[in-house]
Amino acid sequence: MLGVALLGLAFILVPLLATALRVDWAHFVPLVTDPAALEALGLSLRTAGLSTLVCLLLGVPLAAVLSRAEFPGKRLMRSLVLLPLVVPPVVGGLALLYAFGRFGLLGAPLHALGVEISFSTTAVVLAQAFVSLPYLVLSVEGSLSTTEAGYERVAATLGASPAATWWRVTLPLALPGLLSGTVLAFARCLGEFGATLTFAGNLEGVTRTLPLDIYLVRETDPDSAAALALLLVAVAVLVVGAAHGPWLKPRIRGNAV
Amino acid sequence: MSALDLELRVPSRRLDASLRLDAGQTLALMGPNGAGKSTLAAALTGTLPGQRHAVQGRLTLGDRVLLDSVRGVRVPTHRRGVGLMAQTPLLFPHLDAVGNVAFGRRGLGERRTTARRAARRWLDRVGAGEFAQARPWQLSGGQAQTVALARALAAEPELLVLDEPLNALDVTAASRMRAVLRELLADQTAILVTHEILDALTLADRTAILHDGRVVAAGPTRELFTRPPNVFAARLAGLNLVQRDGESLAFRAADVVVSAGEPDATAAVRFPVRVLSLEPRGEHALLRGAGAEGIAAGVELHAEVDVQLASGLDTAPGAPLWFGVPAAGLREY
Amino acid sequence: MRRESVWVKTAVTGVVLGTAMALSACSASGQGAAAGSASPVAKKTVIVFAAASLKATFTQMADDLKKQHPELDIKLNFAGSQDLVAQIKAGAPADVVATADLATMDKLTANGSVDGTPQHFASNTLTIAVPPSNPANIGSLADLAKPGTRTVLCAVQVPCGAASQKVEKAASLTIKPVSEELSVSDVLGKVASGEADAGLVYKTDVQGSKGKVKGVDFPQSSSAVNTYAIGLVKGAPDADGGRLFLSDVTGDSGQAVLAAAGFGKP
Repeated sequence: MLGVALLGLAFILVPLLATALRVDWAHFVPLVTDPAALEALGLSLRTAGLSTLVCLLLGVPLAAVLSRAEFPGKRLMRSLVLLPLVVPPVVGGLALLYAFGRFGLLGAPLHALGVEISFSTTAVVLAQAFVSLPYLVLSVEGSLSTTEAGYERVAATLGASPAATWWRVTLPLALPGLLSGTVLAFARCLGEFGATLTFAGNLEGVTRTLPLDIYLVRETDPDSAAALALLLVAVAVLVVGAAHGPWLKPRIRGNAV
Repeated sequence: MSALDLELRVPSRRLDASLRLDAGQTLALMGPNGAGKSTLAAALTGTLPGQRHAVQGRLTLGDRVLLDSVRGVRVPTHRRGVGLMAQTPLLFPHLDAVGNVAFGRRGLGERRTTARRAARRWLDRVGAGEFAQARPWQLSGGQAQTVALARALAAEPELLVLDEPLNALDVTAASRMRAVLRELLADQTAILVTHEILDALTLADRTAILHDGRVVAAGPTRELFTRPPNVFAARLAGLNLVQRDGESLAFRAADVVVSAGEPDATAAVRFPVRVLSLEPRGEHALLRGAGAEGIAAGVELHAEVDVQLASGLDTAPGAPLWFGVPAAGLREY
Repeated sequence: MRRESVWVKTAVTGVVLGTAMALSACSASGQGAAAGSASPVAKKTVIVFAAASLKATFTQMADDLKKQHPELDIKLNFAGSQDLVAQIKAGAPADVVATADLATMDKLTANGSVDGTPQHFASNTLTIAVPPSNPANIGSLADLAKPGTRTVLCAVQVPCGAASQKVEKAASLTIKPVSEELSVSDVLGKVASGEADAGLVYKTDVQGSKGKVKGVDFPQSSSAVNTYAIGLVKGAPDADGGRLFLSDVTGDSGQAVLAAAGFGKP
């Protein structure tokens, strides 16, 4: 069992290690502190943060409904939520274009109101939120579904209103899932490429996130691309690591009874 | 304190029950599995899941109408003032014991420190003061259940529903819990769902028996079980009951003398029976028979017989036997 | 304990073998198809590496050529010019290579990967792509620099972007694009969908878009002419076949196909 586990780990680590070996370490610092790279990184972090926020605002209520409410078509709804996971990101980008583009379903009326979404940072945020929402919803829903609904009933008999129950019981109990979902969503946002490329475009400081920059730099200078890729990996590891740090160790262990 | 008055129907679960309870009293709700005890408890707290199990009828607690399906009144769970203590403690795993007990106090509008101080007092009262800082998973089943009791009481419910609170506890923990409940339920309007007559006798002023969703017997606990009004109450009390013309005759299975021929004069009453079954109970056996003729005709009667004696009798189903009861074992009313 | 360790070993072996088999099956199926089509008549296989923009024309030429020479099997591999260079340097088996610009071909000749002198066989110039309705009324290169015009260009790092920069310079214009795309097809897509008002693409792209975009020619395009070159790879497994294909491309029939697709004379 351990052997296969190590094989699995190696499968993930070897390509990353190979990337690290490709990096020209003597020039690593100037490469990754290049203004264009920093601009792209900053944009990536800003948009990923915003997108994660959008995911939280839309995803947590969605997860709550999926895990708690009973209504016909719930299974279908759950499958639909997963669609962005299955659809290739480029196709997701096209779909967003058909919805929010200049001549899109919603984009056309917005355009008439003077709101342009494509080629803007807003488009980047939409693209990232679109592809990463399922990660958050899945995580939170899983966490909510495994929590005993009995806790919420007890809270109500103790006089807690539905809102109070949500804040004081449901959410704290779902916290581990919420955190891991948030981290997953953020990480997915950071790595988003296909949908952004198709829907948002590619302009320095506006829509050129780090993954897009890496792809562009690769055209002329593969070694610099490796350095930037490593920068992206480092940021992702930092974020994931921070979220799984000891201070967030779930205070909830199996309730014995 | 409040008086409870209910007349509830849950058609989907065939519950149709009416009950009254004076303020400060405890009512034991008894009956076989599936009789509707837990459904009634959930209807009281307003926690029956889903629209499919819509509760109809009327429910008043003190001067407040909690439910009136005709007038469309349906007070939500959190505004009912009906507390719940269930079979499992369901302590909030993200809070320590004090935090759990203080939960309902916060809802009463108390500040955090005040609430926690009150919570500690309640933990002391249930004898769980030493676990104040403990996390739920660190507590034993009995300890957790006492904390759950403190939590339910600390919210100062007008009515406390206890749904088989001792069911999941071992014998020692159950005994301790019974003592705690006895003290704390003294002035609390409460409904105790249980299938143990011991719990009803030690904890409840009144008892109601549910059968197939209906209240088939109700009254002061001691009276109900010493002078059972019908066979449902008698069965729970472990008594045989024979009734005729408003007169009742109750006797314990252990007081029945079984014989092949008609009993002699030591038996004050004697019933010819046909054997239904013989069930081993350790040193004894439970002999179930159906009255063959006379006042007990058709009534199921139980006799506790020594296994030695039983082996000497013809106990094949349908075999004729006599059940005799000496005067000392009879209760007439 | 013992049983468990045996079980674990079996499971480990199973997973490793299973993974290996699954992976080898993936690659085997690809080779199997190639071997299957080649074996019955023992065809000669010519392998052509060509720039992605040649896909339509080279596919047509290969089909025509195969009809004339049934003994010939032609395998076409299309990729970006940079990738082609990388693949050939890495030793990929190829008989003929055709690049979309001379600079890329120079890299191969400098490396000694190409036999003799590559031949120039076509050229391509930039044009302005606009949606069929031309909503922004684009009539000249200068219109792309007008404020309010949503123009998309290729990023300067990719060849079409470098060409765009040249024509901008020649026209003394500074175009502020709303997006700098990674490839010419991304530019085309954004114009075709109407998201962008205009973009700079190759004439062949407009020709190949089947009416989804309209081309607006401009005089400064002559300052950035992309010349296509084709050469025989050194050590080609099938040099004769390679030469045959090469002469077809530079010959009358090939030139006709290229011209129909919008390519210019070299």
